Amino acid sequence: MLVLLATSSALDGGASSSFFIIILIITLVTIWVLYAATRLAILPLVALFESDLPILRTVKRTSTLMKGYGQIFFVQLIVLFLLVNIAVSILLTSIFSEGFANLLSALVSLAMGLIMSGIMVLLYRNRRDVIG
Amino acid sequence: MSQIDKYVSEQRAAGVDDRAIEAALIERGWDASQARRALSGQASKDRYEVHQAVKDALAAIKANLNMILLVAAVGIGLSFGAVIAIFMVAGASFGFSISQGGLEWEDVASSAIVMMALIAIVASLAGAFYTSIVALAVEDGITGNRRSLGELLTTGWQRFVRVWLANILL
Repeated sequence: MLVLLATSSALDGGASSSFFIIILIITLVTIWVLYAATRLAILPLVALFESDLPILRTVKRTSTLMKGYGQIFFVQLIVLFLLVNIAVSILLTSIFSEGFANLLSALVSLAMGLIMSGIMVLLYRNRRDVIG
Repeated sequence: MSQIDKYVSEQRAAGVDDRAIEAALIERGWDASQARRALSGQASKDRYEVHQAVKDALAAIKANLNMILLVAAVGIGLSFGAVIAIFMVAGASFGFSISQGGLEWEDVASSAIVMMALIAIVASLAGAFYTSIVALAVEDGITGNRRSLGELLTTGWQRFVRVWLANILL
């Protein structure tokens, strides 16, 4: 009986520790992905506008451009767009019928995508001016 | 506006020359490089604020609005067109296989996986092309150096594989 209880508690402990490890790995991976996303947010634009650079060197170049203030800017921008998107969705669904609200949401997303493209181009140009 | 920029603009408005402002800034605890950056306007460039970027982006889009909308429409049209073309080709091949009577569920499943992979690749290529031409059109709005639709499409076409690879790396 004691052996059974010990085995069961060891299994429970094993299960909870592996669950903890999985959560830890997921958290670390998420943090790394967010960090990499902020460091490499303008990578497609660097590849587009600095066409003389080899593609693998654009990664290092992007990282240099975004380091510091570029990352803070990008996080602020994402938070702003997320909040605006949520606010617009709530507003549209409260005013219009579901189908029409969805159509308007799609159009707003398209317009916001264009504005986001513009902001990212401006961010790239600003970082290039500041860092060189 | 940061404290240092505010101080510099106040002093300039009061007619104080830059050397005196620099000395005053150092005296107030900022180091010499910070003072020089503030005086050259570099410090405010470093801190490009989101609200300023939104304003600038709207101005750039407004300056080249017709071309940006046209380019976006072409990009979206091409993306949808490419995906629809894949569906049509896949549908035709399914139809042909069914008419030949040799189609098994396993074939359907494996073909569906291939089709989904193909759609993902084509959609990402089309997305890269869309990103390229829209970014080029926005840049024209910023610089005022407007290219024709043909030039934008040609430049975008020449560089979109780089953008696609960059997206994959990202």
